[in-house]
Amino acid sequence: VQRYWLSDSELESTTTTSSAVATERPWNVVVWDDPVTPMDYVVVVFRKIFGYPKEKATHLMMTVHTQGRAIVWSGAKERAEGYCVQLHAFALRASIEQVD
Amino acid sequence: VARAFQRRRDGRIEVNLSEQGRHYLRQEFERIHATLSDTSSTALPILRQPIDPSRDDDDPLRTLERDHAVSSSVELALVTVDEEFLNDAEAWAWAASIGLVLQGLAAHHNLHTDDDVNAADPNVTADLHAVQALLWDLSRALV
Repeated sequence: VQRYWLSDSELESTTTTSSAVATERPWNVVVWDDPVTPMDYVVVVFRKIFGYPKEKATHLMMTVHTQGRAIVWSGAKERAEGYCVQLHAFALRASIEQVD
Repeated sequence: VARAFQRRRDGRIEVNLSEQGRHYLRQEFERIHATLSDTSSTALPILRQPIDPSRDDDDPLRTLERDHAVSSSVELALVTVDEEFLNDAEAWAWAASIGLVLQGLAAHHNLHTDDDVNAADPNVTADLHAVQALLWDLSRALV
């Protein structure tokens, strides 16, 4: 007879694995200032890639402009890398770093 | 005031560029495309920037993904450079490619800071401002 559900011990093991993944330190996607890219362009790119509302995208762009860098997203490494690749493809300076 | 890019009611983006403007962009897009296929080229350092600076080398699959995304944009921008109207995908490809043109200008003239830009030759800043104006205009049309 096929068993389509998890036993208690299997369920516990799955839960333990999920907790381990959840407690791994997240990764930041950092965007760096550069002297030539127009501010409006940075805002529309943040909105396109991350789906942020205009206010949040503008705030992040201003942080990049005034502080030299801004953390624009945090989370799992794989997604952080994917976002960084997209930012590079839109000619923005970006990198990832693991949260301390 | 006429704009280089304008969103039409039907959703397309109208391109109001002179023949000289299109010629300039075509030439610059071709230059980026050539840089992409030459991995030893240092003309556009932004295309070689590290994804994870804490590692000696980035994951080659990620850098391949980035190269593919950039080359798709530049190729799409090149084949549509004479179009009168762009759809959204084409307009985003233009935006990404014009962004790279700007980065190429900055790298070529060693413009790394605001002070570098302010101290640059007026002919260089005129070129820079012209490309920035295009990207600014296209960004407004893409919103």
